[in-house]
Amino acid sequence: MNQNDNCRPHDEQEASAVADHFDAAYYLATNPDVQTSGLDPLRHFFKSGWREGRNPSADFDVGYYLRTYPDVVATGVNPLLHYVWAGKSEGRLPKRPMDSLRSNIEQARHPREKAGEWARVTDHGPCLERQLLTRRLAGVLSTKAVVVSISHDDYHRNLGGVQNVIRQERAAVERMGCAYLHVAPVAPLPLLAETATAQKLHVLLRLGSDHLGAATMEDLVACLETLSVAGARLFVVVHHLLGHSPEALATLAAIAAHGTIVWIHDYFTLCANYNLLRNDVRFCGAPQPTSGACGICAYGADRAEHMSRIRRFFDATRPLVLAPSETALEIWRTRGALPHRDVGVQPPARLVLARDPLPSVEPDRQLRVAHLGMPLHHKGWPVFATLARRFVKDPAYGFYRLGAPSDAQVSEGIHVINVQVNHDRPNAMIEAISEHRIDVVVNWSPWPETFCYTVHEALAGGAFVVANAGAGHVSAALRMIAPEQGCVLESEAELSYLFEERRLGPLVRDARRRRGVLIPESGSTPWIARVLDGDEFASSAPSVGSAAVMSLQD
Amino acid sequence: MSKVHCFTSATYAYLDRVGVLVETLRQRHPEWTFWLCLADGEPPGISIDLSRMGIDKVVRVTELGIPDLRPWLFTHDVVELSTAVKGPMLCKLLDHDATKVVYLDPDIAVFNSLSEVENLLDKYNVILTPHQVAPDEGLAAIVDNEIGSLKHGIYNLGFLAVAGTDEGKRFAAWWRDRLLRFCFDDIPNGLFTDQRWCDLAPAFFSGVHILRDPGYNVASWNLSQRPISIDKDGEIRAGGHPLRFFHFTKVTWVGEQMLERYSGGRIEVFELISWYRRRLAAHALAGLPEGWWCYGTYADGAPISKKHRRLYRDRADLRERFPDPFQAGAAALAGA
Repeated sequence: MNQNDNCRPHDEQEASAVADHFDAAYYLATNPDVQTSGLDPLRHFFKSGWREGRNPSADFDVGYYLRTYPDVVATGVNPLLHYVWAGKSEGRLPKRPMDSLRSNIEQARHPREKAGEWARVTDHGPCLERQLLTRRLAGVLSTKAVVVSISHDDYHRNLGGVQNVIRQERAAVERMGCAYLHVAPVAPLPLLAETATAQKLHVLLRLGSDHLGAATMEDLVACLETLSVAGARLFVVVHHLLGHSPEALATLAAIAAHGTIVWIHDYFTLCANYNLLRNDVRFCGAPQPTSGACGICAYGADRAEHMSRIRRFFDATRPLVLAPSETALEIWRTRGALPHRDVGVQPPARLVLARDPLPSVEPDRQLRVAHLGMPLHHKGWPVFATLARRFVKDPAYGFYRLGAPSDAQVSEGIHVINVQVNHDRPNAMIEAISEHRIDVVVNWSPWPETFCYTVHEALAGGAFVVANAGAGHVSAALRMIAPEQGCVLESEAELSYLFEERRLGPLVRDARRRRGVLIPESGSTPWIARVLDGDEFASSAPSVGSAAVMSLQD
Repeated sequence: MSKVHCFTSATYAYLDRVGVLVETLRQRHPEWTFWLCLADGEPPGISIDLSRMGIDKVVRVTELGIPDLRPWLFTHDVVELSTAVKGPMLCKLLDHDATKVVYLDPDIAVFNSLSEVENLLDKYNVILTPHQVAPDEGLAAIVDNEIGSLKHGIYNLGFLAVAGTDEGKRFAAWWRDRLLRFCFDDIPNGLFTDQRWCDLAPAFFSGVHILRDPGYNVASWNLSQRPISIDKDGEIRAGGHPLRFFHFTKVTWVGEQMLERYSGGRIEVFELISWYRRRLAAHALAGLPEGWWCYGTYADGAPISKKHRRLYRDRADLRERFPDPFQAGAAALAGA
C-alpha cells in the first residue's frame, strides 16, 4: 500500500470546486513535509492540511478565515470549500486586508535588535600589530596616491550594487597608478558602530585584491598618519557607513590631505533604515526625527542620535558628496541638508542602446511579464505577485521571475528562471531577458531608488518597463534614457487597469524597443584624477549626468 | 497658566497601557501632574515602583473615601470598577484646588500637544469628545458606530476635561454620585458604566463644550470618518487633522478586525497598532500573575462570578448578611 492509499479520496466535485483556488506549487513549497511524502497536495489539504492551518495558496489564509467567521468553524466544513461555495458571494474575505504590508509592519524591528541576530564573525585571527601593519602598507609610498575606501562589507566576497562600484573604482584607480586600501567592519552591522568602541573597532583590510587581515581603527589611523608624513597622498572615499564609527572615520579623514568623498548609494546618512521605508512599508521622506512618523517607526528610536553622529562627521570632513543619480542627490539635499563641500552625480554604469529597434511582438503571442531579482518588498515583489496571481489564468499573459531561486514566494502561476549575476557573469540578467523573450518588466519599488541596476538590465535586454512613479531613479531613468521603451504609472490601480483592459499589449507592440549594453563606470575615479592632475577637488568635475545622456546618443 | 492635573484609572493588568500613556503624555506635557487611580491591590510578593513609570501620584481605590467600600467594590466587575472610581477621583482632585483636570483612559496614547484642551478649560466647564462627529454611511457602519453610540453613550469617556469652576465641580459631584450608585454595564436598563450618564451633561450643566476636532479620541468607532494618514513632514493625521490622541481599545484580534473594517484601505492605522504593541511589550510588568485583579476573587482565590455580583447588588438581604462579601468559606457569600 502506498502512502496515497491512506488518504480517502475526497469528493471529486469538491476538488473541482476549489481547483482554481488551490496552488499546488505554493502548497508544496510552503510544506516541505508534504513534498517529501509524495502525497498529492490537494488531497493532503483536504484530508488534514486545512485542519493543521496550512494555506492552499498565498491568497487564502485558513487561520484568518476560521478566526473571523466562527460560524464556519461550527459547520466543520473545509474553509476553502466554504469560501468557494458561499463565502465569496457573501462578501467574506479570504485573507486579512493588506496582509503582506501588515506582515512587514509586524516584523519590522529596530536595527539594534537585528544586530544581535547577525552572524558574528570572529575568526579573522588576531589584529595586526601596528608595526606589522605599517610594514605591510609601506609599499603604497611608491604609488601615486592611496585611496582608502570604506564600506559595510568585504566587496571582494559579496555581490551587490555598492560592491560593483567599489570593484570598478579599484580597477580604475589602480590603472592610474594608485593603491586601493579597502576597509570594512569585521562584524557587519545594520547600523552605526557604538560610539564607545570607535577607536577599538576591528576592521578588515584589503590592499588591492590582497586580504591583509584585521586591525583596530586606532592602529590603522596611526599607520596611515605615519605614511602620510612620509609622503603618501591619501584620499578617503566613504561608500557606506554601515557598521562603522563615524567618529573614528573622522580622525582618518583628518589625515587625508586631499579630502573626503562620501557616496549616497542609499539614504543611510538620513536614517539607519537606508531605503527610508517607514516600518518597512512606506517611503517616509526622512522627516524630522521628532516627527510623529519617526515616533511610531520601528527605526525611529535612535534616529536623532544617528543623525547627530552623521552630522558631526559631515561637519568635520566637509566632503564631496557623490550620488549615483540626480534623483538621489535631490532627495539627499532637500531632506538631509548636511554640511558638504560640493556635490556631483556619478552613475555606476551607463546604458548604450542599439540604433535599430527589435521587431514588434507578434499580435497573438502571449506577453511575458517579469520581475527581476529577489522576491523582496523593497524591490516591488508584492505588487508583481498580486498582479500575477490575479491574471494568471488570463492567456494574454505569462508571469516570470528572473533571479536566484527562493523557496519563499513560490506560486504556480509564476515561472522562476534561475539567473545568478556574479563577477564572472555580470550580464547574466540581460542575457536571460533576451534569451527567454521577456517582453515586459514590472518594477514597482516602493521607495525612490538611488540607482536601479535592474531597470537598466531590463532595458538592455530589450524589455518594455512598467514602473512606479514613486520609484525614484527607476522612473527617472526610464524617462531620461528610453521613454519610448516603457511607461511610468501613478498607482497600482493604473497598473491593474493596464492588464485588465488589455492596454499593455498595444503599448508593448507599438513601443520602439532596443537592446543595449550596460557599461560600468569607475566610481570616484574621475574626481580623484582631477586632483592628481592638479585641479581643485571637485570644482571642475564633469557633470556626469549629462555625460551619460550624451553616451546614449552615440 | 494654571497647572493641569491629568489622571487615569487602571488595575495592575493595565499598567503596561498606563506606561505607554504616561510616556507619550510626558513627551508633550512634561509640566502636567500625572495621577494614577489604582482600582486594584498589589499582587503578593511583587513590589512595583510606580514613580519610575513617570507617575507623580497614586491614589488607591481604598483612599477615595467611598462609604461601605467592600460591598461597593464587590458589586462591580473590573471594567465597572475602573470606570466608577473616575467620579470620586475627579472630585478629589477638584477638592484639592486643581483648576484644570483632564482624564485619559489608560489605553490612550498621545501624539500631539493637548494645549488646546488646556486653553478651552479657561472658557468652558466641561469638555467631552463624541464617539462620532459626522454621520456614517453604509449599514454596517451605522450599526457598528451610530447604533453603538446610542447603546454606549454619545460621548466617549476615555477623555474628559473639567475646570475647577463652581459649575465644573457641580458636574463632577453629580457624576460621582451617579457612578457610586449606577456604574454598571446594563445596556437594557439604559446604563453603560460612566458613559451614558454624560449624555445628560449638556442638558444639565452650562459651559459643556463638545470638542469635534477629528484629531481627538480617534478609535475604531470613528475611523470610518477619520482615515489615518502620514504626510511628508511626518505628521500623523486623522481625517486630515493632526492626530492628538488615539484610543487603542481592544488591541486584540477583535479590535484589529474593527480597525481593518474601517481602515479605508490605508496601512497607517496598522503601523499605529504595531507600534502600540511594541510599546506595550516594552512596558510589560514582569512577574504579574496571569489575570491578576485583587477584587476578582474570593479570599480563597475562587473567581467571583458575574451572577454573584449581580445578586449581591440586587438583594439588600445578602448585603446585610454578608458585610464582607469577599470572604471565603461555607458561612460566607461564596458558600451561600
